[in-house]
Amino acid sequence: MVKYIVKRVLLLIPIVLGAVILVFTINYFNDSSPAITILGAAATPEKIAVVEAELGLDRPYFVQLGEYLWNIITKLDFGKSYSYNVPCSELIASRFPVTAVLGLLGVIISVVIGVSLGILAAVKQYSIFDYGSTLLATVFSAVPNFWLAMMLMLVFSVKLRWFPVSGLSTWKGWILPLISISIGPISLFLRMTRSSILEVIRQDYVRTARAKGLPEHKVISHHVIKNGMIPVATVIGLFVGISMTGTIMIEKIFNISGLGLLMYGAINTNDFILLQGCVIVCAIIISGMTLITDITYAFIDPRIRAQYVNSGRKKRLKTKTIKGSEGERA
Amino acid sequence: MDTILEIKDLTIEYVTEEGTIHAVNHINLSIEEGKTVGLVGETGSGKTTTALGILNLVPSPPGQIVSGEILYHGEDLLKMSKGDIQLIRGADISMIFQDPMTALNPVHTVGAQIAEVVSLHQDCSKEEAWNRAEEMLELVGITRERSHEYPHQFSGGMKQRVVIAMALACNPTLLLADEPTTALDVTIQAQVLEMINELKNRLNTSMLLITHDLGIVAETCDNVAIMYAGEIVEYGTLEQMFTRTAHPYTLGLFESIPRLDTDTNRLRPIPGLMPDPANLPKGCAFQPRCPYAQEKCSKEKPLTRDLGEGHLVQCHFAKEIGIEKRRD
Repeated sequence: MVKYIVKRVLLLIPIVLGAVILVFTINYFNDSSPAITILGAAATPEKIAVVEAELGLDRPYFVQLGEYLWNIITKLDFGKSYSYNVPCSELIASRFPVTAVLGLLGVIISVVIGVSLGILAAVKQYSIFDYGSTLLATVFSAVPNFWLAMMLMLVFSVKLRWFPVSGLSTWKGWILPLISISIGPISLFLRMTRSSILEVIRQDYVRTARAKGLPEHKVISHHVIKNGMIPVATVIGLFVGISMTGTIMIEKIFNISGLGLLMYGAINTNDFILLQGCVIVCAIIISGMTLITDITYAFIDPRIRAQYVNSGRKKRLKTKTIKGSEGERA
Repeated sequence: MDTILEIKDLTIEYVTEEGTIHAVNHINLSIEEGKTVGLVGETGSGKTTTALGILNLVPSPPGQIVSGEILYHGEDLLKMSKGDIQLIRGADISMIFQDPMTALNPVHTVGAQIAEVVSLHQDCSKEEAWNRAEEMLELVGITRERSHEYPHQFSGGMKQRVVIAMALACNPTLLLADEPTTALDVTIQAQVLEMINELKNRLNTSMLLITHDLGIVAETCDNVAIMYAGEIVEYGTLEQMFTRTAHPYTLGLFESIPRLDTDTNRLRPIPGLMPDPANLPKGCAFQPRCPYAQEKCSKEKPLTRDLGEGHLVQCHFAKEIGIEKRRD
């Protein structure tokens, strides 16, 4: 198991390297020049050429890529932001914690509420609670979080004035953003948990557990939940990665200065080097979360653990899925 | 001899959107202390539902126990509170399930799964329960060291042994064995049966053995009940069943077994299929497939008759058929 984890961590290196090269290459072939951002309206072709030479953007592709990689590996230096004129790593380091805390809190809230409601709905199948929660979950999973955020803001901040319109300076400021980012995942986790638990509850080994004389709550807690959580764990893992790396729309609406807003600004100002840094950080976090999810998997299900220890084929398959999910993100 | 379990007029239905499935219809059955009763019948004849009914584990919905009593030492299991029947399940009455591949929880070690039932019903520490679990594993021929392994690390036959160890861990007085050997290959079948029998004799356990294999019945049972379309059509001692077969369905079952002492080229199956339990025929349920059927059979439901010495049969012409058969 330890050997497997070490192997998987080492595998992260080529994956992250691939992501860096991919993002860098896309930016390299981008037509609009960052020199225009720096010079503003005064940009003439001559001045642009001068600035590009200063930034080293006139050098060949491989030289630039090599230098970029070298700086990241040796100095954790993602270059200097064109628009802020400070190192990208500083910007990211100052903005990331807010996003991470918001995202993690959102996931924790969603998991606690979504999973427990899902279990309840499955255990009390066909009850009013089951119908009600499933209906609400279906409705809310169809609602985009940015729309919900705007509606919540309109009602609770503008009309009722219970919460501030923007910022996270007081605890009240956290509430609406947290609700907006949690409702979707809550609905998703609820529906996933419910269907997964319902599937497990019909398994023969659950009947065996009942035949042993276990009271129903023990049947559920010892024999149903652990098995039922396996598919849900994958989605939770994915969501942790996604939420921690920014919910751009929510940050924009509530004016939260996190990673999402930083990226939004970088896109608007053609600050590609900053965007590049942000995307790479996201890629590292998401692939790290996927790794943690996979390892958690193995702790839940001994059959998966056995596969990890014994077969190399499975591992290669898993690596492929990580690469796939990362490509989408980048 | 004490009767430990008595089923009276038990009826179990599954109510589905397509109609009501009459899985078990007014059956009567009793099991005496230390005896083995074989419950024989085709797939879908209601054998497993009967066993689940005894533990009140018929999945509901769609299943429901419509009528009847199941008396365990004189107490009706069906009228018991949830808490009371949970004390009986696994301790006094335990069940060996049909498919060992799915009967064990994949995420717990086999030792933990056996220890669970021990610590649930016996007043003992965790270590004692675990010790007992390891003892049980050794009893069924699995070494102690393997108690920390998971079900997927065992073969099918080994899993069935684990299931048996689990069922016997609390010294039950009644064992419901639902086709304990069907999922196993023939060589393992004999071993497992022998093991069940040995353990049963040592603990003086009664057993309801559900099977469709008359060979197994002949080896292990004291009494036999033949089930067809949710009814017990014939009941008697092993000897009565094999030498004085009275019901045409039982006859058919015997005839469909290939014989070694005569030169047969073809098997002789019972023609036709079991009736749809959602739509049972009027009169005798076996009548559409019965070679002896007469007009009366499709009109009137035969009552259970005693042919003497507790040999019960549900057929209008059982006596005549029995006589005719013996003449052959």
